[in-house]
Amino acid sequence: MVVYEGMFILDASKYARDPVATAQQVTDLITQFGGTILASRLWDERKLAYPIKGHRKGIYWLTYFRMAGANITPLERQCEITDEIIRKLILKVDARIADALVEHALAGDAAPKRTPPPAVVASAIDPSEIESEE
Amino acid sequence: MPPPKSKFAKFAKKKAKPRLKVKRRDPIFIDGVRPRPMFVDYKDLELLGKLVNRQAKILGRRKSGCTAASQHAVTSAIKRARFMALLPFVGE
Repeated sequence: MVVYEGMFILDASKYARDPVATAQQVTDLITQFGGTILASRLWDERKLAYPIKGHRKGIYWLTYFRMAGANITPLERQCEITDEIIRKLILKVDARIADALVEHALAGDAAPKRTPPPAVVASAIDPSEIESEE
Repeated sequence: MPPPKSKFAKFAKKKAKPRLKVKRRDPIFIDGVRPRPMFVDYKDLELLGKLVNRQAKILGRRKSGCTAASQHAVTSAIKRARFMALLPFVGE
């Protein structure tokens, strides 16, 4: 199964009232469609660059999960119906950097930095390339 | 004695100065090496902020210094960031 990165903008007022339940809703949705969650955390709470459906603030909830590709479409549809989710973006993550990104999400409390981390890049460097550059 | 200046001397073509070739620095490359797979995170606003102008337009390759592959990744990252309201569609 493929690793996906899901970013959800949650309703800030609903999140302020009950943070646990609102966040739980996202993870429940993913598991409901047969996904296994690898990481799920608050990414940021920020003002939106432009208002969406009358909302000016949003909670950015970042998740990484494994799921069968066929279930993504019904998941997206369910997200549209859910009131708490203002907007969502689900991206397929390249298998080569999936582990590094998940680890980064689990560890990171600060703002995300340039990824992939050096460890991944080092293994990906073709030695012949370095020589030609010198 | 120097030879007398020709009447048309001022029209003579100046020799073009040899330009120093400065290697373009790709902002996506890490230590001058192309990351594989090419990956630009749409959440990396610090980086993406430098690749748009005040009107929030995407900078061209001439300005950003990106290679074709990294410019392609930057463009899609900026568009994703716009969709998620991390960057404005229209700036000032």
